[in-house]
Amino acid sequence: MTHTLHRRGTRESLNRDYVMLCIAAKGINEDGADEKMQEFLRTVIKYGAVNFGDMRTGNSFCCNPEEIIGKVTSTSIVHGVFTDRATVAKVMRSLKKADLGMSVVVSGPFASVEEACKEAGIVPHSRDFSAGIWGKIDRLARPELLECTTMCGHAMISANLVEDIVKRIKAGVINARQGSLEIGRVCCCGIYNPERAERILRKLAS
Amino acid sequence: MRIDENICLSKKLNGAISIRALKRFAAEHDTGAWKKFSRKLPPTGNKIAIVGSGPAGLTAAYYLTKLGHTVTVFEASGKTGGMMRWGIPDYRLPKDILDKEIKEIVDAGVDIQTDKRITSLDSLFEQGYKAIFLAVGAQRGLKLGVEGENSPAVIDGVSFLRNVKTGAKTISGKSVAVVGGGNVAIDVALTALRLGAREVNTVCIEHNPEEMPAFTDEVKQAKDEGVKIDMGWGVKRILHGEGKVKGLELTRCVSVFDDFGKFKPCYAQNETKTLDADIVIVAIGQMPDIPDTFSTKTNANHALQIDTKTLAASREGVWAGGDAVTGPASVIEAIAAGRKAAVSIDKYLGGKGKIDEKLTRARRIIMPETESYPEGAARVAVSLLPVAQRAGNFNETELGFEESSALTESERCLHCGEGITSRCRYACPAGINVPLYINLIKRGKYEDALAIIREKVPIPGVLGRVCSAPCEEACTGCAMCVPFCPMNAINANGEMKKEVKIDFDECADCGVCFRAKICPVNAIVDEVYQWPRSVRSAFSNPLVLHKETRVPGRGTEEVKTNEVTGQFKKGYVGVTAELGRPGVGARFRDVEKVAQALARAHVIFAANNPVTHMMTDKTTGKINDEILNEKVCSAMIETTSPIENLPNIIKELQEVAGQLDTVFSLTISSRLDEDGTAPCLKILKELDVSLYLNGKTNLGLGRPLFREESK
Repeated sequence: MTHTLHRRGTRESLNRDYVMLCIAAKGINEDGADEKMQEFLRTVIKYGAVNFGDMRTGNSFCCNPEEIIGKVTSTSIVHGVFTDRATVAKVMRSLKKADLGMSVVVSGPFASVEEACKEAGIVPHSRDFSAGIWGKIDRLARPELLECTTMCGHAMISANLVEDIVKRIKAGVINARQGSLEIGRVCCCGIYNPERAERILRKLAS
Repeated sequence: MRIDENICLSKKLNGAISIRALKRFAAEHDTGAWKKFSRKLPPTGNKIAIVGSGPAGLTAAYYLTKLGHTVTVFEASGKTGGMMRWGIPDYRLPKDILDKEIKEIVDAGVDIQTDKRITSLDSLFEQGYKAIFLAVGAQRGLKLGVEGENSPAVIDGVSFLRNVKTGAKTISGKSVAVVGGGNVAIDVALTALRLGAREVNTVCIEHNPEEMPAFTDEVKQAKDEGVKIDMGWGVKRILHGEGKVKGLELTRCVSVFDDFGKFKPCYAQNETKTLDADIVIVAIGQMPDIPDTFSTKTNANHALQIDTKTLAASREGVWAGGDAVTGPASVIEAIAAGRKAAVSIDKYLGGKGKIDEKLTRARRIIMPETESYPEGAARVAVSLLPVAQRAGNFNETELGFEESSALTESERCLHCGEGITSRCRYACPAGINVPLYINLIKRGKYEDALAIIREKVPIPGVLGRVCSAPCEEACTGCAMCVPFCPMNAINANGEMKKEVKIDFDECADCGVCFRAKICPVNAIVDEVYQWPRSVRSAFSNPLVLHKETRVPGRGTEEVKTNEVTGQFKKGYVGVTAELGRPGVGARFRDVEKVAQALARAHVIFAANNPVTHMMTDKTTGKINDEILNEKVCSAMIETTSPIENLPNIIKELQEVAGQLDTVFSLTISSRLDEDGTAPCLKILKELDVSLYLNGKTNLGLGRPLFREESK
């Protein structure tokens, strides 16, 4: 599945949005995968991931790190979110050195990810390209809202919720940070980027 | 998903809280205690001119004065208040209430000069004013544009109301026809009755009270008092005879709005009738009347053009707000504009734009330890002057709440989300903390309640009578789950807005509303359904593991483990169409259409993909008929194909895209060559398929490598 693909936004905004995930290939290298994915999670936390989680357990807004790490199984997919290329390169280097043997995927602007790979001495293997949205596109939420909603690839963030949060920010009931965290609760797998969302919400509410 | 209606708070709310009446109740308990917290900053030496003394102008004047600026309000007429004075009849807003609250503004230090019509902004700048706020309202009545309209016996609604206030209009014993379906038309009709009109007939193009722009309760009041309302008719011409108005020729209005919801009345020209009348009052709206000498830009509606963020007009040092910008709108919206202008002007003059102050120490909603809601208690009716006592006078019709009624009504408030996330909390354009002041009334702290209102508006007593109360519209009885639904399947628009329901057919069973733990009484139930409905949660809820693939989510491992599985080998390409993404949702009948299109392009469907498992024929893409109507947040069709087949696939997808009732996000997956390039890119460019700047990169760290790689 492609839950970390199809994130929408401007180049500037997407340059602050990287998702790293770690997964085992079922039936091939899943034996002992739980411990390796736990190591992946410890690594992304160590490097200051702004969000992390396991699709099966939850994200860093609703669960503490120990709970997320403790509940990892061999069928988990674990994630960490970063906001700058340089840190992504450091995490890549660390994971390469750790040689976990698990598949690691990075979502982000190709140009930036490619640079990070070079810095880490990694030769990328495969890519998923987003070829856009087809069909009845007049049913889509407006583009500014999609920047927030597409940060959850499972469609757990509704456009109405983003609009609701923006209204509350405009009314001064909550600030953009609080709004971002409230939205982040519903994206269970931990690929939502709260810092990027905060910027988007601030812009929408201004 | 399901809402347990016996638990849901919304069911306990029998109609929205009477927020406006509670606001009035608080205003009626003004001891002046808030004044000891009110501060005025030292003089800044800046002179500001405000043109117009309506709600927008007075509000801006009040806050700017408190920030230390020297503010002068220029009012063209002989009295202050703008449309509050001239456009709202005394039976709705008594003069003494308006005068009292304007006096508070004057006492704060605002200089108001009446009978001062401003025609030149240059002259104000020459007098040393550093900033000008234009709040001149929308005073010019719109015309019907029909034959016979240019007669002294045909008058627009706003002019009529103004004339009544100045004592210049007598219509005793006459038959009056009012044209229009808005609040002004209703005010005109009720005013005409009070002036002793023999009969008042109102005609409007709308077909029922709900369609009319006027508030439903005001339409009811008009009917109660004897106004006849003839709906579904438009004016064809105004009839004259013997030099006088004789009445109206009406034509049947077939529809008011077009298919896109745009106001576009359509008439049946051959269905007509006449209505006798001595006087015709046209109350179909107003528009701003901006002098050309202001040298400010206006739009096609003759309204001032502004920057919506700052309210800055087209001239340096000039701001504009209220009806002069929006056209006729509510008093609370004008106040909100006045507040916004005050912030912008203060910043322009070097201040911080901080107009808010705390007028009470009461900041928190305090809930009883064990809350018991008066389940099903109906909205407390506001006392009204008996109909028989309204004729021939302009005594106030709405009498407000007695203390016991106010307490009962405030106790009905559910304080959804303890007031923090209540929908009414952010519905007020001026930002009044509605749940907090209702909670304070509930606790008997009336002065504090008033202080909370006064922190955002300088005329609470006026608002308590004429506020359009968007907060009451927002009061839906919690309904906090509504915005969380990604499929827009939770509805809070039931009768009396007292029921929140999940549309069972539109719900994709994704579980967001349940997992968000947003319901304060845990009324949301995560049901487990049998086949075929069970596919909804399997595809929509990312926490549900597909039995067959053992992958949580909606697809396979695809490119994520490609270095280990070899799902996309060299010479092959992966094409994935995810139906329903982003945020639209999809029925399997649309999934089938795309699957069949891909099958026609001879793709290989991914074996471990959940959609593939739903196919009854993997060569044609036929999906099991039993699930075709099931709706999911998204469903992913994953395929592989020799790379040379990519043009065929794109062609089929382009054709089927126009036949869908949903969207799909398209993914192209590729093994990279040794030089890091993806062979598919050249083909996609030739096919004019543009790719997004971001995507997924498999770093190739998984082991063991697929044997193609081992060689």
